[in-house]
Amino acid sequence: MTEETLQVFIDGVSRYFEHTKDNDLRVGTPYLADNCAPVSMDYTGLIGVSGSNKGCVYFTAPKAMLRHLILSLGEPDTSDENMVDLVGEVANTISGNARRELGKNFMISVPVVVSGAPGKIHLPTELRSYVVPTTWRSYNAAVVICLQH
Amino acid sequence: MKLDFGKYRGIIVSVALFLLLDASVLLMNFYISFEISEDAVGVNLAGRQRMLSQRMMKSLLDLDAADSVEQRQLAMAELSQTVALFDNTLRAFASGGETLSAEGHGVMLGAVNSPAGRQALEEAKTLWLPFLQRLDPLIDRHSLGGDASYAARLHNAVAYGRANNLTLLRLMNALTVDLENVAASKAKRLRLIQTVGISLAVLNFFIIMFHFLRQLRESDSKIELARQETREILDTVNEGLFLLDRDQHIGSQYSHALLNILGQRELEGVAFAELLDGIVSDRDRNTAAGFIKLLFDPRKKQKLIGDLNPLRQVEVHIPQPDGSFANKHLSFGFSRVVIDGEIVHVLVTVQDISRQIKLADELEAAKVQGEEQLELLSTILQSNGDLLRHFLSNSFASFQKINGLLKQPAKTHQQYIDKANQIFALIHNYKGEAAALELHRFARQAHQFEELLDGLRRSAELSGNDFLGLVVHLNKLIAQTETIQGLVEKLGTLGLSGTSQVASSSATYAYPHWSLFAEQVAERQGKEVELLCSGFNDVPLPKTMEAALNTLTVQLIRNAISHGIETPEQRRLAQKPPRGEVDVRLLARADGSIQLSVEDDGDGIDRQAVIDTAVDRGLIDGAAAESLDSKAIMNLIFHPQLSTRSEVDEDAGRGVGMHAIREVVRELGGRVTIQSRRGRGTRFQLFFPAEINAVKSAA
Amino acid sequence: MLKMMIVDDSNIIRSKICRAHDSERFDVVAIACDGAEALRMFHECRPDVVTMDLTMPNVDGLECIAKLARIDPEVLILVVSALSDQATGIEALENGASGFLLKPFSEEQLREALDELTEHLYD
Repeated sequence: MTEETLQVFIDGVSRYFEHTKDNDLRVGTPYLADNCAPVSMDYTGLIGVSGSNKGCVYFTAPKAMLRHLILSLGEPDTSDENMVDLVGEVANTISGNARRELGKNFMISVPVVVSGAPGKIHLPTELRSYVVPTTWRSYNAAVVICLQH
Repeated sequence: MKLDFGKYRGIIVSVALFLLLDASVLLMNFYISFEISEDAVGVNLAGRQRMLSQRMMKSLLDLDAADSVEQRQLAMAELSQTVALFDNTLRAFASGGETLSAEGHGVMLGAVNSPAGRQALEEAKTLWLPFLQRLDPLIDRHSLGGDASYAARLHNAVAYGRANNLTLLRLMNALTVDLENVAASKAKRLRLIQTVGISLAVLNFFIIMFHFLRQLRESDSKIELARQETREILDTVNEGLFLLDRDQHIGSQYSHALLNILGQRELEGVAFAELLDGIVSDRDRNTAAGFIKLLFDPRKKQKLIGDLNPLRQVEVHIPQPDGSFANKHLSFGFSRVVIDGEIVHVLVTVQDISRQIKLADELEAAKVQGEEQLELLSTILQSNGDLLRHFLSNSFASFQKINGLLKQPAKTHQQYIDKANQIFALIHNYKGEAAALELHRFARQAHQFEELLDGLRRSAELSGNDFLGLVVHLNKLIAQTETIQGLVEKLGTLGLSGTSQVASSSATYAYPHWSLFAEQVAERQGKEVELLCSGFNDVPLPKTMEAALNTLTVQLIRNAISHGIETPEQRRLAQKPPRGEVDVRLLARADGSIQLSVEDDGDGIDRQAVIDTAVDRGLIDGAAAESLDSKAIMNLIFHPQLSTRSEVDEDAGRGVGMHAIREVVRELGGRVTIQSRRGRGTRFQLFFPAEINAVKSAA
Repeated sequence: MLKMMIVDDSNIIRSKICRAHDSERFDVVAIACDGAEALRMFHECRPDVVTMDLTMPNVDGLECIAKLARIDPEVLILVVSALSDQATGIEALENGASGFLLKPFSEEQLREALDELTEHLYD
């Protein structure tokens, strides 16, 4: 797993935020996290990866941020449904970007959105995942990448 | 198309027989119908003879009774006509010949040959000939008329006629009846023949049907059996099997395994390219199409193009119903199907070789890992088990700290720089320890890590994303350290690697190890050095403290050699012995506090160089530099970004060593002092209060 | 006896083919180091069989095969190449070659390949 690969996933998220009015998504210092306790917030959009690298990549964000983001997109309805939709859209952008940049060897599944309970994300415990904290306005979200070679 | 006559002979003979039968019945029908129609003429004419015999008699009587010449002439004409007709017809009946029909046409009659008919004719002839003899002169002489002989002849004829007329009528009647009987029997025969013919035809039909149906059933069951066998083979075989036609479309039959291998799908008539679409690369797909085209070209040698098969071993990604992908390694084999010298199909076999590939990969990975582990193993076996375990637990602690630092939010460039510096201090320490244990692989990687950090520290504008490479590197380091820990644990259970040594570390300490380390550092720098150690075995220490002291000592020894001790050449010029000395001591005071001192007899700290570097790096400005006192200068040495050595290598030179040392010491609640004399040497002293020792002990 | 021409820019391969072929069946009438030379020699000695490398200076193998096949559609060309790129190999066969032998090859493999290439001439 190379730096370039990680960058592609991070770029996927940045790309999504380019479409928002406040396109200043700041990327924090990435760090490692034990898979026993996956980082997760209120809503998580997850894509599975297979091919030469297996695992998953997800974008996780708090409710408040998503609400603000929905409003900033000009959509007044901040229902649960729309939040799920939004997170799914971010995951979609990640997967689209990865498909384009990483080519055939990365096979990427359709995004799945998990809301609420953080226990629902299962990662291979023998691996560590990369956590890339991101800040949009004053909200913290994260891109988490867990891939084995 | 060739016909297999053998197979169809039965049916052909049957049908021919049927036709022959039909034809002969038809022919008989024609013939007998013709005969019957002839017989009908015969019957009619025989009936006319009956009638003629009576008309003849009547005109004879009319002649006899005629009063006038006219009446006589009329009767005579009638008589001559009927006699001629009767005679003629009788002859025709008797021996075949022509006579006149009722309509006045000539009609051919065959001789009657039925016995009854013949008998009637014979009898009629015996009666008729004398009658005719009597009539002929009458008719011939008629023109003369009126003489006495005429009347006598007439009388004679009338008398004969009267006597025999009824017999003649009866005979002609018998002839008629006979001829009717003959015709009736012929009609009966015709019906019989037709009945027999039709019966035979029906029989033939049933034979054909029976024969045909049986053959049909037999061949059907053979086909069914063959089909079932094929189905069984296709359902059971583990490989994917199917045929491709010239257009590269899949045939109607394929093995069940194919669906499992490629995912559930209907495949009949699907183009091969479509089958591959999305599961192999476009390039491989196109190459495969070209390859199959070659197989249909009889000029290409099948055995000599096998190497061009792009799908001989190919990794495929098969979409799953849940949206994910299953990865498989498949092997496609292609061979020509030749019938009558023509390549009609290409047989494709598909094998799932994922397991084989996985095993081969694992074997390869195991080999590589084995080599790496062997390298590590030799290091581990040479090292002191306790030290190694200290190193490992220290390493994990350092990595965790580094990760913790990474995790801390930062916003400004300065915050990022600080983060990089703090990480640098930790990794530098780690590098020192790794080098001390001769874990060169780790030392090298730590060095690379430092270089990455160095790159970061130099960049004008830092952001979180810039740390990405660092995190990847950190992950690698952790993974490798985990590997070595696994090995140590394994060896521990085997009782190797000194792990069974007494847990209390107060028994022995690793002077030989430090000496070796010192020698290695010196050698890399082209220096000579002797390490003197004392006190370590006299001071009882808790494990954690021991580990910390180990880290610090290693770092200080390295600094002493790298920065303090001069090369033998320089030492000779300074009139010192070429071999430098580093003296390491551990003292325990009565109050329980500990003091570690590392002293070298090197060149001492070049204060001006320190100031110049600090100014150069922008740590202080020129004016401030002027007013620095000795203590402040020494403090600069602990600055994270200072190094007075011009080159950077595995051993030293990044100037974080002292910073890192002070961090560790502070963490333990201790302090550091430096004493240095230019040309004479430097002494580092580390003081640790008693309570730290006690608390750590308890923990 | 079949006339054979060897086309390869590698001296080692050329001599290996010379050494390995069945000399009772094949008579090496020409040895060329590149495509241009091969075309010239082909006109002179009209070989029945050609072994052809693909990557060569001047006229490369692919082009050379196409030209040889145009001159003599009956000529039997065996591509002898180390190309791992199968698409190029297939192009070579589309251009008129009849077989492909992957480098590196053993002497046995070469003999078998030449037998296979010419087998239909002995039926």
